[in-house]
Amino acid sequence: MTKPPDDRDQKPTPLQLKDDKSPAMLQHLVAELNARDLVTAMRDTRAESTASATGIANSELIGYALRGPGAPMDFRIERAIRSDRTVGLRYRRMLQSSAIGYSELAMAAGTGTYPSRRVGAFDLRVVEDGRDVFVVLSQSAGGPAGPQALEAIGPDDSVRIPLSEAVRGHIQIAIDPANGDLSRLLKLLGEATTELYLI
Amino acid sequence: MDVAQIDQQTINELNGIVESRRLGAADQKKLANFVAGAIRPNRDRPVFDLVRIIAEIGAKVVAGKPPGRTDVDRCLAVLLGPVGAVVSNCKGKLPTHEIGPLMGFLEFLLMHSDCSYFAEMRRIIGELAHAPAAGREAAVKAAVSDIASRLRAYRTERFPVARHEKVFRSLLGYLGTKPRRTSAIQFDDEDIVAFWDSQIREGNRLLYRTVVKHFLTLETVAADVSAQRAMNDAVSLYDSDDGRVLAPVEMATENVEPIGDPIELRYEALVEFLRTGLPEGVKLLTGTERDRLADLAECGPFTVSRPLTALRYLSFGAVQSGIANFLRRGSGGSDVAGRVDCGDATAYPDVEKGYVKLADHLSKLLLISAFLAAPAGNDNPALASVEPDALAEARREGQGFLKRLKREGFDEAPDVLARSVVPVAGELVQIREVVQGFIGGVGNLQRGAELNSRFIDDKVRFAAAFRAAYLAPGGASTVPGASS
Repeated sequence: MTKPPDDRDQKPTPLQLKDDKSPAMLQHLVAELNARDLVTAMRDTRAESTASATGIANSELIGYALRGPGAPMDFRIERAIRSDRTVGLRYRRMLQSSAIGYSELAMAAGTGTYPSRRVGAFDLRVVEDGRDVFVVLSQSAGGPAGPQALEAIGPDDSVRIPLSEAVRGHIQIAIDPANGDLSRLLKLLGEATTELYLI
Repeated sequence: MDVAQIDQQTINELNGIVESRRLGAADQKKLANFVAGAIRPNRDRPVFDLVRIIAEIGAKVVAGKPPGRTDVDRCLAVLLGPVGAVVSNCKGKLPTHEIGPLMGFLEFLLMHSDCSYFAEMRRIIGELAHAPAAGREAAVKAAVSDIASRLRAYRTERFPVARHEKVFRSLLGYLGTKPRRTSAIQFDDEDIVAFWDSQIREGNRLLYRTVVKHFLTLETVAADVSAQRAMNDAVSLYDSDDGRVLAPVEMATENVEPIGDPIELRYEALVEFLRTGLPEGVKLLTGTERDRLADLAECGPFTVSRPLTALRYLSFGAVQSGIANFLRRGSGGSDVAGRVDCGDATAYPDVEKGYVKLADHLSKLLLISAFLAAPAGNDNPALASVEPDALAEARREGQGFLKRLKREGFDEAPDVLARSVVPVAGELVQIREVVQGFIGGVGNLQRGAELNSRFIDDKVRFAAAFRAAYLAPGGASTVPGASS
């Protein structure tokens, strides 16, 4: 079993990659060690921290982001979306993936209190007529099928408003100050960093 | 530690999935393998399996209805819902034994890098669901290609390659220089120690134990795929640079039917059991016994196939780990100069004697367990084949050992003791098998040369290497490298 000692005096030479099939072997070996390191690191990390940070499973968050336009809000998930930067980012990316259009930032404040927005194929304006306030979504020609809801996500609050059918390319929301959701929408539209999603 | 190099976001991501899906140890390992690409012979095989499941379920979900905006969401709801529903949707058409980890893998693909691939996955799911039957195969190929290429980029970005690659490159290079070899992955005990020695001489202070583990990995990888296949076949199904198909898709599904856990995994599970799985309150094994058994189980299949390497691992590997720990802590026990000469190394005959004693102790524990299990009746199917007289005799013996064993917890009432001892009897049997396999291997080794003369030869050799590594100018001042 033991070989003559001169065998071990040979100096290793690097692989000749040109005619050697070892790169495949090398890849397998490196991947195997990475996987083992990963399993060990996963176990060590779990041993250190008892619970996951938010307690919200991925499937829950995905289901929530892709929920129907009229589905109720889940305050536990909403809280996590606002308090945990990562959860918030993921939620917004999921929303983007299914949205007809979205706007991350108001381009420039217009003349009024409320900056106009371009949300996908729609323009969004806030029209003030005396004491009455309207949010108007106007579809550009050839836009996609009508959205069913508008979700506004600001730094501290978010709201989802069901939309009515477009009439001649326009969807109009009359802001009733007595309606909490609509008042919150209006407040959110006043902030340039509010993100808008047409669902 | 090695593992500090693994991307923390990946670790957290996978742990979240493991926790919410309650994946067991074997499924966790599979999930990690899928993500790291540690699948042989073809690392994209799980991508292919997953894509076929998505296509199958997607087609069912959208069947008979006009395309609608919620199609993908409904597919996702099924795919991410209870695993049982996914399994029943695939039954008879696709292999279902890995669906738990595969759905975890899907979750990872959706969520990784803060969902930056989420929209892309939705598009892929939509295309698979809406593909007409005739175009299904093409849609599957396109999806596998997209996902495989994304994963390749992810791995390049998140997984450390350089250090592992460096050591394996030199290891394969070293074996490649050997004459009279038909394959670059043939090696023997001498190669292992000689490769380690050559690394030491080059100033790369690897632990001997680390090198043994690398050779174990090499053997596992090479055995999994026949060496010929691993070296000649494409590692990936698709060339992600141009989407060109490198291997026929059918290849990916070969041999994916459930097979027993690889041998290596069984040893890993025993090491894990020895570290964390022993019952509390009853001292089946002392701390030292437990550590020695774990050290042996770490040698994996080498305990039987390469007993000399295992002996070196247990004896001189321990000396080097002691030096490494001393350097890390900067204190504790003898200094480096006092250790390099291997005066504390356990002589091979004593190593063997120690494990003979341990095997004996394990046998007694098993007889005790048989005695304790008796009142529970004969519902243990394993005992049905045992002669009743022999079983009765074993239980009498076990009762006798229990009386004489003066260890913490063994004075408990038998029914209390039974609850902690009987459930781990299976593991104790396996550990005893490992020990007995090793003792048998050492017995064969002795036919070649007397154990103590092997020890004396090795002591000279290891001491010289340790001196070169730790006492050469500048040697002992730095902490040695990887210890995994």
